[in-house]
Amino acid sequence: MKRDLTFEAVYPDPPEMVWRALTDPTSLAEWLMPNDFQPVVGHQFQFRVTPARGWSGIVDCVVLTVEPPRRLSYSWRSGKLDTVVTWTLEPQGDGTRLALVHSGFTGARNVAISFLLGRGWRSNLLSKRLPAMLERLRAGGT
Amino acid sequence: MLDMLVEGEKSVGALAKPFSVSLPAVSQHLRVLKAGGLVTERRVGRERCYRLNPWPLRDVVDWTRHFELFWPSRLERLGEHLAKKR
Repeated sequence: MKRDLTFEAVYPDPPEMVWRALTDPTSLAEWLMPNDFQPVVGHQFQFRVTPARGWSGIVDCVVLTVEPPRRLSYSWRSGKLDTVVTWTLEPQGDGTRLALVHSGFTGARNVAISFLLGRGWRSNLLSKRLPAMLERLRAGGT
Repeated sequence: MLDMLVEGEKSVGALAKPFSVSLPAVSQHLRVLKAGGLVTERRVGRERCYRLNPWPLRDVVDWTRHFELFWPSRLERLGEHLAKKR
């Protein structure tokens, strides 16, 4: 049940500009979250927002990869969540194709569950049917 | 098998039907799922019936759903941020 989320966006700005938006703490705060990021491998930092719905509002991160202006990754931990965020920048014409992979939605308990589920696990179940079931149960149905 | 259980409670016989495996093999699989807390068992007459317990999976589902909404909105904001700097 290890699951990665992948996203992609194309911007008309060159990779150097996008890289700056990803690595300058002030820029990063403007579009992502307030932070004390530094583009230095091993640097520990946090994203902090107002706590909400049983979430502390804090994401603990460690910078893992800094390859300007191509690749940036950091760990992304919050509560039971232990994941990695990886940004990849590719020139596309005069602009940039930005890929984001948020990987490793597993954790110790989830690895155990993944083992139990074996081949019975299907992504459709995780993305659609199980959430629907949980919502039904929350609403008090059976 | 979990796909079938999402639909509701099922007997061992009903769960075994679509698979070309023996009833004992299915029972064994269900015992493992039960030990892991993913299904609950109930006796109905001579049959055992199983029901999915989705709560252990909740955290994973909620987080992935959260980020499926979170990241696209942030990538859009990044685009707006870049436009301002142009």
